[in-house]
Amino acid sequence: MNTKRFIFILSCLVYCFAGILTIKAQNSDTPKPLSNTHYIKNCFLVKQPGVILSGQNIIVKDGFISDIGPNLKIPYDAQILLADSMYVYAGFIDAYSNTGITKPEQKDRPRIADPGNPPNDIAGITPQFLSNENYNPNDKSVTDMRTAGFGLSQVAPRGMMLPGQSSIFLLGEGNTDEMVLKSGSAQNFQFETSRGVYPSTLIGIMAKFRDLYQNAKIAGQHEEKFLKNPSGLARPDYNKELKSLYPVTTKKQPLYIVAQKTKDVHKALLLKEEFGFDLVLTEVKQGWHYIDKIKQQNIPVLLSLDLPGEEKKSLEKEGKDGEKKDSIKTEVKEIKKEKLDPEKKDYDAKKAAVVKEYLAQAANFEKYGINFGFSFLNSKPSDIKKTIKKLIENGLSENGALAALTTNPAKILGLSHLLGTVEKGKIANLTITDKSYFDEKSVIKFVFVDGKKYDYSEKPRKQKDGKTGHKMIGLWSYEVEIPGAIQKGKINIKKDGSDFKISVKDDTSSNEDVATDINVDGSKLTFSIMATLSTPVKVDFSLDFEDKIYTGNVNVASFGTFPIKGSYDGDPKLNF
Amino acid sequence: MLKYILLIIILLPKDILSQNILIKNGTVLTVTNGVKENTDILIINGKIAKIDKNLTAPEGTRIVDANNQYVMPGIIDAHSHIALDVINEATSPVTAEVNAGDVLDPLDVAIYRALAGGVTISHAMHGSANAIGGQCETIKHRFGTTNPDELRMQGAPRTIKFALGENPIRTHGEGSKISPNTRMGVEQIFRNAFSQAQLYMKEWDDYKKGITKTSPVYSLRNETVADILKGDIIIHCHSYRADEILMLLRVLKDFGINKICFQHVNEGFKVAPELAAFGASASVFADWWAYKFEVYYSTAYNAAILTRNGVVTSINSDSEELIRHLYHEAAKTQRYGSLTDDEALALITINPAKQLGIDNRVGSIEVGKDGDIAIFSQHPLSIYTIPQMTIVDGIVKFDIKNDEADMRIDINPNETYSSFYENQRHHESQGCMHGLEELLMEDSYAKFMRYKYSKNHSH
Amino acid sequence: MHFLKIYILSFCTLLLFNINAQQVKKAESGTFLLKNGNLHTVTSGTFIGDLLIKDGVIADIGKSISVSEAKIIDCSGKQIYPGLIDGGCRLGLVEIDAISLTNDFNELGDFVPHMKALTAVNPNAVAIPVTRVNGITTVFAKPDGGTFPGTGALIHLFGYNPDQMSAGSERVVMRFPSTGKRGRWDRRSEDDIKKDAEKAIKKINDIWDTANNYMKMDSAAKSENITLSTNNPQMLALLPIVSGKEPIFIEVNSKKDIESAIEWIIEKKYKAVFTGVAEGWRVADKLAKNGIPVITGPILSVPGRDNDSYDASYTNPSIMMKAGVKVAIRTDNAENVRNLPFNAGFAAAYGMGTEEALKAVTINTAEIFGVGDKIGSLDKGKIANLFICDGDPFETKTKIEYLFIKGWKIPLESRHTLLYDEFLDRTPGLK
Repeated sequence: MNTKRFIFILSCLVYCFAGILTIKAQNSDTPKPLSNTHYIKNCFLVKQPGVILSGQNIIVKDGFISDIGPNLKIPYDAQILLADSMYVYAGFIDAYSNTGITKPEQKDRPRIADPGNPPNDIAGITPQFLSNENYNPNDKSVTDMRTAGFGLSQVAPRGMMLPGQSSIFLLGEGNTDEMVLKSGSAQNFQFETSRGVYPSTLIGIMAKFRDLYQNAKIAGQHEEKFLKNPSGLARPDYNKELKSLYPVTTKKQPLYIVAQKTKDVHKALLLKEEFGFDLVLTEVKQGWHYIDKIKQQNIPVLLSLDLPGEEKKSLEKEGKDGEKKDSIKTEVKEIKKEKLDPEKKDYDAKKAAVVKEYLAQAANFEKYGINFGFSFLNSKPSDIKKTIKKLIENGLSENGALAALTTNPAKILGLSHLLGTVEKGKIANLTITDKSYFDEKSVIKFVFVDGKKYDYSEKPRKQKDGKTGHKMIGLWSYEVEIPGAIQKGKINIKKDGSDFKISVKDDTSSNEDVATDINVDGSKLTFSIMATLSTPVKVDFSLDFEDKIYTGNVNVASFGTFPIKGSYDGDPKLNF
Repeated sequence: MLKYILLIIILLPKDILSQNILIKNGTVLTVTNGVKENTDILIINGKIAKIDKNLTAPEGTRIVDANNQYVMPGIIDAHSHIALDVINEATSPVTAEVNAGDVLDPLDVAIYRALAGGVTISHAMHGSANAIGGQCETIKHRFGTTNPDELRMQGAPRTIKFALGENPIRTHGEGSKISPNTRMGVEQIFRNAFSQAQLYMKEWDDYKKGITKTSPVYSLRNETVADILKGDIIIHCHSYRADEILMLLRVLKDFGINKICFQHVNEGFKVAPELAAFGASASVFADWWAYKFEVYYSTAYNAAILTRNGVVTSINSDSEELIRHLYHEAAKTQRYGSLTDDEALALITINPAKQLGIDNRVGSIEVGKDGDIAIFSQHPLSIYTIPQMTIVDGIVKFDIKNDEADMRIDINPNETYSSFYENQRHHESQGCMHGLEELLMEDSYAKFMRYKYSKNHSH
Repeated sequence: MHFLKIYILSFCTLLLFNINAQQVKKAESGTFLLKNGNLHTVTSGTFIGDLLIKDGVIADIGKSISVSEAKIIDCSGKQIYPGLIDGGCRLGLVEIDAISLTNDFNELGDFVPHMKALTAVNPNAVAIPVTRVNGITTVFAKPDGGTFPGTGALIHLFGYNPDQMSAGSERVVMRFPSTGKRGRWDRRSEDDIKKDAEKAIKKINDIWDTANNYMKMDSAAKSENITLSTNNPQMLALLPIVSGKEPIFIEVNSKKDIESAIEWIIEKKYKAVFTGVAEGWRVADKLAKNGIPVITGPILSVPGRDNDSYDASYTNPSIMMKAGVKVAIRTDNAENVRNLPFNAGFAAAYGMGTEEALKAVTINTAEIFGVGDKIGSLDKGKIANLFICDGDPFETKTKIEYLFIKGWKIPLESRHTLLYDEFLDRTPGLK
């Protein structure tokens, strides 16, 4: 066996094994649960937004809420959860995210002979695809959402224009099929293009959508006709893309359109007007210009929790620059200068007003009586509560916020009969906090998903990485995005004594460039290479590592700076 | 039909119907009916109601004193790419189905800057990467709205972008290695697309008449090309060389198409008699040339020669820079070709209106036309003139006396301060080949370097 | 008989045509007396009078001049101006922009100050006559691209070799590290941009430190009568600047960068001219206080920021001028340097006034290049670069009627006029 290949496989095995260990570790340390029955004793029960009952007991059995009341008999097989002074909410519902979807492998795209006529999958048109195929119930993102109080996610596949269909998952551990509550719950559409092939732009996407929609309708109607009476008709072509879109044209399946900014919302509404499908606007950040229309047409909306940041950066800097006195000095000097600048003052005032508009959007939607939930395409689960607090500070009521986390998304997903409130007969998805969830200091203690208890009352200690730079060692893939192309290769990071040794190799060349000016600062790594093009050109890398991936920038002499990203590929190689 | 009209009324921005304005004592350059000294213009409900001396207005009418000032029709730019989020869908030599109207950007500050140069209407065009590019949108500069629909000039005829010569060749032949790679190839793209659309129309006709039972495949692309054949869409064709202009005229004749305006058309002067005989119009740069080979044999006298040969000619910007001073660009025809004031002004008013099929509504100061007006401190063809006020549909959209520096409507909430853009030479900044970098630089940095250093012009 | 007549007639026409085709209009030399023109001297007012051109220079200027032998040009009712000077462009260094093999302004390498534009200027570039017929007689043709793209040359727009064209001033150009964005495609974060600029400043500092050392070595060697034996043309090119003989031309545009560049130049103590200076209006007082002359333009350009006023570029030169900065105007163009008078015209209209705007394209520019004694005004003894026109030279419709460069009467002909003559009334027409 080829040694390199061997090392690669070995390292893969090590990783797989490590993965299994961590999953099993939680379970094998504790005894098996004795039953599927739980008795939650003496809690504040938040039945639905605005309805809080004290001194309640809840019996959870076989995944359902089997009874609720102040005086209930404790079933013989119940495990008792002493919930004195705790708050029990319906498990939160994430109506749109990519939770549990592992990032697809970056495959090399074959060269497309005719970019005007690419295969559908390369063009990003895969409406037949189901998110089930990539869903992993044991993915970290699932754990993170559950830890944040969520018991249910409608998961959209990752992809481009028509990435495929969402399915609704219970956010428990287990295998994918067990966790599916509804498969193919929605079709998805986003203004994302595949570079360099048709449709490569927004105008292309709009035209292509219209074309597909009309043809889906024609094909579907033709097939129906054919099934009734085939005489004189051509046999219908089998076209998986059109077949998958047909339910949208007959309103059997809603179409979720990712519409972040105001113009995206406009386009989504425009298409709805043209074709009349059931639209759900999702990941909306700036939708207030169309609030009237949304209200009139009763369009469900999922608001993004990715809100404009507030001086996050300066805080970070303070911490970091603690050691470097020089840089602090210059910072202070600059801030002073900028403060004196009236233009900058105006600029900041204008911006602050705009930020306020973003933050007040949820409150306005509530006032207008729009049925809205939240979507979580670009937000960190651990920040959700903080962000919702911010929305409340900007006018959203606590009940409105809770509705957006529970009853509203249940309604949007058509699952009000199963979820969204704490009622007898509903699925036992519960979120239990020590204080009111909206209290600044509240902590999520337990989450029930599908009747199964997850205990978060003891926070796992954060594992700190040992030495700086330690986790950078290894062989990493990279992808540099230059306009119109993606350059790929490998970065090999080794440690020789206390020194780093880094070499970079482009996939298309046999040359290996050895890095200089290597500098490690926390999770940040910078270095330079002299790339051999027609003349030597200095290329500066600046990478930020997080876990098994990194992101950053590559600066190529005076040509510009381009984003780079990559992931861990294995142990460092002796040679490429 | 009634439903359609109702729809239009609903779509109209509310303030259009309520705007009245009286412009007093200006020197009125009507363009189509001479110069009227000390004359008033009354605009009622966004339309020009009266042009006369000593007019009075209903109570509540805004009165603008234009004493010692020049009042002209709002300037019209027949070729622009402002207020657009996308310029080119450059992946295929034929993309008739895409529509610039889908990506109007009302938040673009360039709209305000155009207004500050007296421009009230522009033709928001698809780029020139493809032989048959996308459909374009004629927009009114109703700056201040966030709704893209409110920019549309409702009822303006549909238009589409065609392109000849280097750009489609460079994009597809050189870039993607698919035809066209020559001007011969470009011709066949048109012939093929038109023939295809004829077949398509027949297929659907047969189906609708019941001759065939199975529904044909729908093609938005063929639908659009068919509409060109039916005469429902005006062609605006990016072109430079005399030979390719003649080529397209032959193709159009063969397919019975007659609505054509040639854009840029730097060598139009060489075939001015042919253009005039066909009834084709021309929309040109005042003086751009030599940025690439096909414009090396150009002359700044182009507009004058075309005008003198009876071709309806306009001067366009194709640039967010030039659009701010089209009045100055038009004046260049007086240095290069001695056009009269009326002839020069027609190049940026009534003539582009004709080319866009909206001359019955705008392009001159006449009773019944839209209240689109530009007021200047001196004669608009003078280098010393300064635009004072620009009115769209009777609404003041630019007023030098009430002009804030920062006119952004949409502000990036994540930016700590505005970015400064190093001076981009105006050819490069925004034009026909915008967004095309992607196809031109495929594989390597080396190619990228060549691109950066070649300072490729885009038009 | 009639037939024969036609034959002969058409033969003659043909002959005439051929003769015409062979008759190339050439520049004329000699002694010219411009009579009764409105003389806009720029330096000593405007008056009606005569101007004598002899041996390539303005031999005399006054109320009434009489000479025995001179070609007399009646300038009654006409305006006479000194030739306009473009303070920075690529004219002559580019033939066709999109064809890189015809572009000669950008040598490879980031530190190539020894690249000399004068070498690459094509005296027969088609754009040169196109430019000069608008009254532009002199331009600064400059390299462009990296941090030290080379040494630009001030050239007259008539001549057949570098010696004939040179206006006697060459200047090293440096692009100050920018914190601006390079274009809409520039996706660097604010922090990254800042870091890049800091790195770049460190790099130029290293270069200038080396240049200072080189100067010390060079003078030490000279004092010992030794020729410095390093082959270092880059350093040699920087010598006039570190020794304080010539200014460095620093291309800098955004407010922050201009401020940094001012601090930098104060520390370095070199002579400097700032070019570009798009946001000079934001720091006009600082520029004035430090006495840094500016070559700005194009005036006809989009403001640098989305939140800037629509006329920020138009008013920029006037704000700097009024703050006390010496301002010259440039087009920074290649094929359309002919728009220099219109750039000046917009500056004039937006606050600068015609008189000051005229200086910004004549005497100020000449002085900034150290040739104020040779060109830039109608003064006795200066090179006879001037033009006669029928009105305000910035006014768009004004027509140039005579043009003199270095005393040569230049035909007002260019590709553009020739095509006009041929095609206005094309023969044959349609048939």
